[in-house]
Amino acid sequence: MIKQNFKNKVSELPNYIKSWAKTFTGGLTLFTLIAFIFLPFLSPNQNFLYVFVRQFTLAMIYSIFAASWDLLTGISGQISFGHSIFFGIAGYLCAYLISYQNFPIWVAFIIGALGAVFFGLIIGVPCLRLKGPYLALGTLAFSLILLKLFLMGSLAFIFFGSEGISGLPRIAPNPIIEYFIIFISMIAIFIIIFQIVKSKFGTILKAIRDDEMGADASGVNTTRYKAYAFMLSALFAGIAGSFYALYIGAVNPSGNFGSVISFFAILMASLGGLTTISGSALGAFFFIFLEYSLIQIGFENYVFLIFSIILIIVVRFAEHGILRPVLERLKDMWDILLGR
Amino acid sequence: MVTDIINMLFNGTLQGAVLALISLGYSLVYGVGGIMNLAHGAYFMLTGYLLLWMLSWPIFAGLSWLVVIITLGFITILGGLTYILLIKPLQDTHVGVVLITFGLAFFIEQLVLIISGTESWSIPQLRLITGSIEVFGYTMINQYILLIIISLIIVLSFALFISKTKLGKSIRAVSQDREAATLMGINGNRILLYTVMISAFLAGVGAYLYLPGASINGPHMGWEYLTSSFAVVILGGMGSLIGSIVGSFIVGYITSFTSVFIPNGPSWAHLVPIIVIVIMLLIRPQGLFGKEEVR
Repeated sequence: MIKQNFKNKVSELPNYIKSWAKTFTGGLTLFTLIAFIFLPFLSPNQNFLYVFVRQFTLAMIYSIFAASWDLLTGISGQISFGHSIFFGIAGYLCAYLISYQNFPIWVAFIIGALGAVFFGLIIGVPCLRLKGPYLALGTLAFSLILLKLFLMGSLAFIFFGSEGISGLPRIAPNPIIEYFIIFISMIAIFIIIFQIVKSKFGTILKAIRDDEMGADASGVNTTRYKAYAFMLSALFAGIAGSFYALYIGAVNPSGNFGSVISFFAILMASLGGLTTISGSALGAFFFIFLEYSLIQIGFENYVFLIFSIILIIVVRFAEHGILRPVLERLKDMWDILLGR
Repeated sequence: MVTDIINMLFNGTLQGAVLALISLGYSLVYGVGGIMNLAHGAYFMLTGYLLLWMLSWPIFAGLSWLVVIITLGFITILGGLTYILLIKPLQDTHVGVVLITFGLAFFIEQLVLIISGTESWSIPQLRLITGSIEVFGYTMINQYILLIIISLIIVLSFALFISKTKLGKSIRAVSQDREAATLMGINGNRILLYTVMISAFLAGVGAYLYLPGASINGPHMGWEYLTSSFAVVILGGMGSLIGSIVGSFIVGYITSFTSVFIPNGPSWAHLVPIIVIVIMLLIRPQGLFGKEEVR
């Protein structure tokens, strides 16, 4: 039965994709994907490859991270201000295994992400008693503990102190290959997150977000599902964290555990719009683009100031982020073009 | 040994007194409006920097009392503006309030960072009294002794204000049942506005009394005081005023105990508030004096 269902689905896939590509969102997504595939080949210039393409790679890593935050906060309603925990733990674990235990990159990468899941469990379980703003500050407190432990000079023999670990190998020596590895992982993770959100599991998470007592009364084991949400979100944040450590080539406490990292996730996801997973990708690209241009015009000291103003304005005036309004405008234009 | 014990007791009382000033307002705001104001630590930090900046202006030479009045007034107004412009429109969504006050705190931190950098500064000219006395070989700075006394006076008068005056009674009414209070003709939003202003004022007073004796340790300071006051409030119970006073002194004594008696103490002492938060959240999330329900 299941096999039959699966076969049906596979045989219908080309038709499904064909009809999906004709819809507005499908067409737009396909167009964006094609643009991304051709992007690294636009110019053979070394500067373009090593600066511009790498900025896009970074934006994709941040997209994964912001999407993981959105999965936890937007979809399941558990506000986390300490997402840097998972990001940093995975990065550190990955870096430690590569530099000190000579693990192959991919093994270290997977162990790093699984380490983040483990932390998601041990931090998620105590924090699950908390709700709303309590949870936000509880997770913030956890991330500050880790940041301070890793910064502490007297514990440098365990946690490497404020220097961190440096000299990590790249994911791939060629920036184009690096770009495609991360691009494919990003697409895969986004598809997985979309499927999770659509599935029964995602519906339960949304039910918990909207009315926890109601979900409890309907026989949902809310604690267990919240723990699952924490672990899933930690997994994706951990993948992003390992990628980031390999991308930068080094890990250090403030770069991987700082509250700034959690702030990035919050900023990017709310910029694109909470609960729209793809919004976090838009937010991440916007964020990286803005940061890059601000640095180029010599405003590097004002980057965070400008970002915090943007966060305040977005949260205050555009609660649903900028993705949906932009998409609606585009769709109107599309309809006009097609003469509908 | 005696010196160490005196050191621990004195520093604990001092930390407790400062924390009491900061967390009283923080707890009050949460109790009245259910608002978690993450910009509260930033008020404390900003007060220190405002004092620093204004003292360096030649216009205010010799007018330090004016500087203090202007700064405290500014912080109070800033608290009011935070409520009117940022918190009030988003009151119904917890996520929104937390995000926007987080954004504000970050904004203030970055603003200060751009103007003053990360160095430490000191403003000893604002001490109310100078000098120090020695007790059993431990040197106590007079400013701190005065701070403890003033802080106790403020806390007591605050308790009187809450229990006796009309505004205090309305604040209590709103915190017990906002809807019923509104039906009795109390303007809930205005009470909340006053509460946020009072809390910002108290944080400012704490900074004005404490920072001239200590030093201004860079703009990151705000987060540390935010986590400390959160620890206090979690320990004492959200919205409970007695709880936050008792909690302040407990946290203060634990911190000073750690920094005096534990090897590598001062670096562990930073972790104490956070560990207190985690332990309390695990054992008794409603706090020592809190109501049963945790929201």
